[in-house]
Amino acid sequence: MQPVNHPLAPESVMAYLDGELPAAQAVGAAAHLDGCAECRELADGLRGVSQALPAWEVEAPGERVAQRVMEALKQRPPVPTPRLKWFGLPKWAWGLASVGAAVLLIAGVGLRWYGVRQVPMIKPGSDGLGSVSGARTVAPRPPASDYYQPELASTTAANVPTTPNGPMIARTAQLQLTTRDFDHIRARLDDILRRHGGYFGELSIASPTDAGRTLSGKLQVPAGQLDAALSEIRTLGHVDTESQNGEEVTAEFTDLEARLANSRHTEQRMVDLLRERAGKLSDVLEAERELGRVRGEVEQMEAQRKGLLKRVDYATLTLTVNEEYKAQLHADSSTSTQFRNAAVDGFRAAEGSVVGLALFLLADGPVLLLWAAVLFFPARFAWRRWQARRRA
Amino acid sequence: MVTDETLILEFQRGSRDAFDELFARYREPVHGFFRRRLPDRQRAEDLTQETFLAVIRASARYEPRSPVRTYLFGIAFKLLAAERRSLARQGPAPPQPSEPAAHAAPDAALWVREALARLDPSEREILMLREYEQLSYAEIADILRLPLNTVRTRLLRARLALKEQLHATR
Repeated sequence: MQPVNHPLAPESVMAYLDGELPAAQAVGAAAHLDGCAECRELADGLRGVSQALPAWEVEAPGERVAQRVMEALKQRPPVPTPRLKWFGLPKWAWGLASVGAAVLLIAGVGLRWYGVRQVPMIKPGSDGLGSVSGARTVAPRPPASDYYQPELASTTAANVPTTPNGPMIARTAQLQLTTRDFDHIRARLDDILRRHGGYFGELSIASPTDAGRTLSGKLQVPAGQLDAALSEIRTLGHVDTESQNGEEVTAEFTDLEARLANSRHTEQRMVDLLRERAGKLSDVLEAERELGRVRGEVEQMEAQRKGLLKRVDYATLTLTVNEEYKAQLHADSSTSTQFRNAAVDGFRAAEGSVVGLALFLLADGPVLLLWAAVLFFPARFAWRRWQARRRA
Repeated sequence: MVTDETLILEFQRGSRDAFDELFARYREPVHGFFRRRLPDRQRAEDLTQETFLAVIRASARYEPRSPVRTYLFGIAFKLLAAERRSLARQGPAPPQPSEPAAHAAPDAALWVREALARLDPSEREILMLREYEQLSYAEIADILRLPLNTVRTRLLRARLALKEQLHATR
């Protein structure tokens, strides 16, 4: 057969029979085979070869293969971790690793000392409660756009995981206030949030009959605006408690990015396979089902990534504002109720004093015992000497 | 049906059931790979076992860049190459009269074995990977580290040679 006389090369006839031609070319090949006796003969010959070869069958492997493999599997540690490959290293390698780790530690401490990356520190305030130190020298955190590329969200995006340029810190703060001007608190909070680009994540207001009203909410504030917003919110009343936390999520983000890139890569490969390879209908359906599953995973991971980025970009402030309670005169308080309340208060006071004593003994008892043991012999020596002098 | 890639990733996370399923799927194909290429049944079983042991040992490093089938036969092919080098160093093996591996239709099986033996080794390897291991052209090219077009050309040549032998027999 002369391939030049045919639009279909013999290799293409063979590839068509093997399901290796792209769908568009496969249609053309089928049409050509219908009309070309020579190519059909070639195809029949190739089919005959493929049908003859399975005559060479081999026996099943012996049971000892399965037994040995399963024994090896039992000896395998439950989940191998990269650390395992360090086992078995000679001592000098461990020493070298230790020296390297020490150098890195010193370098890290040095960098920290020079203020390249200082973490906000919380120091006790004048009221004995936590307050944030004013002068922070945190290296400016890059905006969220530096962490990820929006176009990666599409299925055709590059399958390369994005590495954050700097530490990703998810900041949270808790603040409890007591205010006299509760009536205007909501409006003032709205005003502060609007100016700092934040919003209420959750909000609830409770108005019990025999206690002050309470506003509880979760405020989402741009991380860069958290300090300024907190400063203004503190002026709304007396600060009862305040705390701040910063959780570094860089490793979690990097891991998520890597898994996302892998899934996208798999998705892209499956799309390419579906586009280029002609196979049985059942194979195509199976591949499409698998593709759907992979796409589901990609979407789920993208949602996780968005959530993570939101936690980094927006700090969460848990705020509780209590109204300063002005006790009301209850005309209906009976004498028996007053006695009962007095008894309950008395019991609570007694219980509190017992618990307080127990806490004191638990907290300071060991120290007291230690000093008693240390000072016992000098004190006894001094006492005996004093007694001896007195007798003399 | 759970894909091979999902199974090996689950095995990476510690699932032994996933490995059992993978082993059940590939035990016979891998054994067939060695059995058709080696004269000694014992060695074929040893190398089958070695292939799965290598998968167990290297599972932590597996990355889903290529199908598990390619990964497995890639390991098997490396073990086979090492075995062939070892056999070559030992010199020609004595004839083994009781070694026909076929157990059904011995005449047809014998004809296939002899016809394959007459092929050029590089073409025979490609043909066997395609027909017995059911690998795609790209997977064969990946395992043998050959250009795709070379695989296609050699495969056609091998099939045409076998076709000629088939016609001559009939």
